[in-house]
Amino acid sequence: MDNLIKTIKDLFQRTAPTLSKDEKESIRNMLSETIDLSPVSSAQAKRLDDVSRSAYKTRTVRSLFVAYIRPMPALAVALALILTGGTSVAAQQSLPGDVLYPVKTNVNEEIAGWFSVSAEADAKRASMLAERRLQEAEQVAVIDSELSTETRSGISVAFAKQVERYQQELEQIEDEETTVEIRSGFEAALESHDRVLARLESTGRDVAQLRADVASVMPVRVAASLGAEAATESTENKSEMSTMSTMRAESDADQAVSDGVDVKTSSRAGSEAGFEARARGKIKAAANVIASAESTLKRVNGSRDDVEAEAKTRLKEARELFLEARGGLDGGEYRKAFHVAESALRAANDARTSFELTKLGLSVSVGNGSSGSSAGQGAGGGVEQDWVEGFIFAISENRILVAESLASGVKEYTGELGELRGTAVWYAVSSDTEITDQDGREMTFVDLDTHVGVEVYSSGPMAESYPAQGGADRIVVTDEQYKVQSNANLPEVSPYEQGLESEAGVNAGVEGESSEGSGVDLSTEVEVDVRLDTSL
Amino acid sequence: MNTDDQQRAKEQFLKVYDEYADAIFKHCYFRVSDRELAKDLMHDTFARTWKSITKGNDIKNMRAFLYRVAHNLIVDSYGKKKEMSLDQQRDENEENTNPIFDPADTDAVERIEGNAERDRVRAAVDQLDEKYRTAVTMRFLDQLSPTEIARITGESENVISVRVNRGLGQLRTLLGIEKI
Repeated sequence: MDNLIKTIKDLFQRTAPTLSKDEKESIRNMLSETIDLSPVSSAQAKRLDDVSRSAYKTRTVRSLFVAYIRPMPALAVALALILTGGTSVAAQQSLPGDVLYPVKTNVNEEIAGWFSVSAEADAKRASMLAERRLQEAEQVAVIDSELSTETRSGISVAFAKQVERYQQELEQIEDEETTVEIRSGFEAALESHDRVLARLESTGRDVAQLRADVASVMPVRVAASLGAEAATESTENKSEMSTMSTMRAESDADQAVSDGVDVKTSSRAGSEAGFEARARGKIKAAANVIASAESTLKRVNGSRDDVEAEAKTRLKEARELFLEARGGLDGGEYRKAFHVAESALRAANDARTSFELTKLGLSVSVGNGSSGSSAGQGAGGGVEQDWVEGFIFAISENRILVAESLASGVKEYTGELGELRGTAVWYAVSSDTEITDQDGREMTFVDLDTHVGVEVYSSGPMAESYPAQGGADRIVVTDEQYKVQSNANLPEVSPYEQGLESEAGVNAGVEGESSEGSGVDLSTEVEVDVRLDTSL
Repeated sequence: MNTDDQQRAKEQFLKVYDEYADAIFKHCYFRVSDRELAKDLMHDTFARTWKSITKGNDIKNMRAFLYRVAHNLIVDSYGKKKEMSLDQQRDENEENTNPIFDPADTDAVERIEGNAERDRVRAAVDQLDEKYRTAVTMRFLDQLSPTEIARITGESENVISVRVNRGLGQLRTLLGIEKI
């Protein structure tokens, strides 16, 4: 037993995560702000002296706060938001066009940025935020096929701001390894998003401006990734970028300089040694992209098996190449390591792009739409108009959970999946959502209540999960009130439910819940009552 | 208030932070399995503790007090998590764990190579019932005594000992450790 305890203790200590210096410092700074905002009395200070009177080494903390010692009102407000959590957490989940979106981009993220210390951290943060702007834009484009001009230009501005910051910070970094790591990672991300945007465009979304924005920061035109390999051999002494992309001739020199690769050095880079830093940087970038692909994969459960399998294979390939590159590095074969890492990065990026597309419900459709497969295996959701009739079982922030019914015997939805029956969707309600009663009288979000019957009309794909998630275009509140199900008297499956599962395939992750109660062969042809919004 | 007192108290408290921030963060992480949330909780733990001091609360044992505040915040966060939709949770995780260019994550290379064990422990701890996870974390990660754990959680010592024991047994099974 003692051995077991020791084993567990060791395991816990060994596997516990550590805070990075930056993280610890940034929280410390936040805390110090809090302290400045709520002073203590002398007596209390005395008590604290007593409590913490131990042999801490004295350290000057003052210098840390000089910059923040007089918080501007905006800062105070922002801190209040952060400390109280509510608004800023909600803002964190907002998308372009949402009321809270400016809080996220101007307050939350800015504040986080104030505490970054190094150019490296700043450059990484800026590139991460630039990428996040793209992800948000993509999400919004999927939900709303018609972005307002303001939203669109807002995204462009926000994106450009981060890119500019990224470029500035990148120039400050002198270490070649870090430069290559950050740069390769960011360009891989841009390439990935360029592909996602291309797909969005091909499905009729107006993302031309975004694509142009992305293209403008990609210093090199992305080659049709194959064939670049051949070019590599001849140009490898110029710049590592050539592996993934064909360089524009005119930007050659700029490229080499901004890569942090001294032109003179790179001409000497034929030697293995010249490749070491770059190989290390590239390997780190590959590791980042692999990790990113893995985390994206985790969020796309229930995607199409075939697409997923392909991407997974690509990811596996990336991991193998990554290990090979590591091996090359250890063996002193830096040039080889560099190129293999490049291939790993490319493979991982392919996988990530595929997962991103799946996540957005844009995975390549294979076969016909009505897969008729068991629930839980939704096809990549297309953009369709659907309506769901049910009751509101939960309201949170700006969403309502509409489900057909609760499981027998369940009185309230408390967050457990097993409590819901049949179709269940979290609908985001925005200012554009029209809410009316049965007779068309206008209502507002606050009029909505749990157990109230509703019909919800939505366009755009649903996120694949259970409950599904989507945006509501119109909510009609009916007279019905939900009655708790006594037991086995499950409701008949209504046509729209079959429709959703067999046609739109939006109900991924149902895990047999609805099919269990329905006993209906989902592959049968059904009339689906889909009211298409012609304005779409 | 006196500015010097404020400054001195602040320095004192920041020393407390320097001393315990890592431990509290690890504790939170083991309880919630979410790095960003754990960081928030850790920050909130210290912020609350400070508030408590300004209200004149007499703290005798800083370490135990911090764990108690952290414990309460974590328990509250479970409630909040439940109220959130899956989508929000997912979004949150997305925000939080998206590892590309995470400035905090300086060593992705090491992570990819060496995370198998971590994942295994993580998965096992996650599968424990909340009450066992709490007991086991406090006992084996934080190395608190059963008496301290009892005070922090407001349970009896006896209950804590039982939970530690059962948690340990479950962990052994989950981790596939042979009976020793």
